[in-house]
Amino acid sequence: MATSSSKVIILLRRLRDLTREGKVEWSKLRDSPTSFEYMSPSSGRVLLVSRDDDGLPPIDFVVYGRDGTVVSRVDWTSHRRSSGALTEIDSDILDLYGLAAQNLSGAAQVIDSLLEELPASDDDIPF
Amino acid sequence: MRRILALPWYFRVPLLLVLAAAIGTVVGLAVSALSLHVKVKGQPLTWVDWTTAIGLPVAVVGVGITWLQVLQTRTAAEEASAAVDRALTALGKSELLVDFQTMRQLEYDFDGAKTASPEVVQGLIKQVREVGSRIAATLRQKDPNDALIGEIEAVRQTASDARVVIMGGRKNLNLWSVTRKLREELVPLCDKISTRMHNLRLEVGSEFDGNE
Repeated sequence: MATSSSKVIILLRRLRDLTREGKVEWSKLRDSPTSFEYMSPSSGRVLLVSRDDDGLPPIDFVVYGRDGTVVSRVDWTSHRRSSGALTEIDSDILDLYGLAAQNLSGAAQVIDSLLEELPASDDDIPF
Repeated sequence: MRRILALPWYFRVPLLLVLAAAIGTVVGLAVSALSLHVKVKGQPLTWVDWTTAIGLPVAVVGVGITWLQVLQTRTAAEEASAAVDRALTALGKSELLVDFQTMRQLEYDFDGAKTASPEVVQGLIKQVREVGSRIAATLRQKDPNDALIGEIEAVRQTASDARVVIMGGRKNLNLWSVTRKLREELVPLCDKISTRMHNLRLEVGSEFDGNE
């Protein structure tokens, strides 16, 4: 049985994979446009919070219950000044944040639709 | 030589060129003296030899004057560089004073924000984090082991925690209680900041007096 702290990491990684596949929609917070929100239809919501509101690490992964109470969170722990030395979990948070930002910009959809519109190249694999 | 190399490039390059010229002159002098010495031993002196003999002490005096000028220029350059460093240090201290003052003001603002909206409180929290970050960065430059840095980082973390709670948008959220820990941590921090401000004002004042 996974503990709640390991479960929240599982949730973080699941959201990252689903966001990469385009199966999860993120939105910007009105008061803090550098923080992103995933709203579950029934269970609650998840926020990716850029602590300094600058769209850069440290970024925290916060899970809220339906009533808005913080249920669980994964805090950024790496030191910003130690170049390149991110913990595995911080790296996952950063991946998710980047994917959520891409999801919001609609870049993936635009590229996909452009690829669909363009005639197929001879080099493309036909399946 | 190490002091010359430590100067800014616009002082360093001309100084090194003058030094190279002086060294070249000394080498030339040595060669001329050697040839004159050989000549005196072997044959009678011609007008060229006499010119060399007169030119030698003149060149020696010239090298001496050049060397003195190099020393003077170096001293002036070092003084200019030191003056720039002093001005930058004084500027840094003045900025730190402003940030200290802002942090103390934020403590008062939090106390007065008992009935403020979540947006206002979020704004105050954001400022605490920003100003705290600037103060910590400035103190870190001066002394990375300064105990105040740890206290400021702790307050920034508490501010961040309060912000996350407010972002949940819970109904009937008591902002006064959410920010209690932050307000409590700000009080001793701002007391220490006040002491630092007093000392810093004295430092800045004496530096400006010294420059006048």
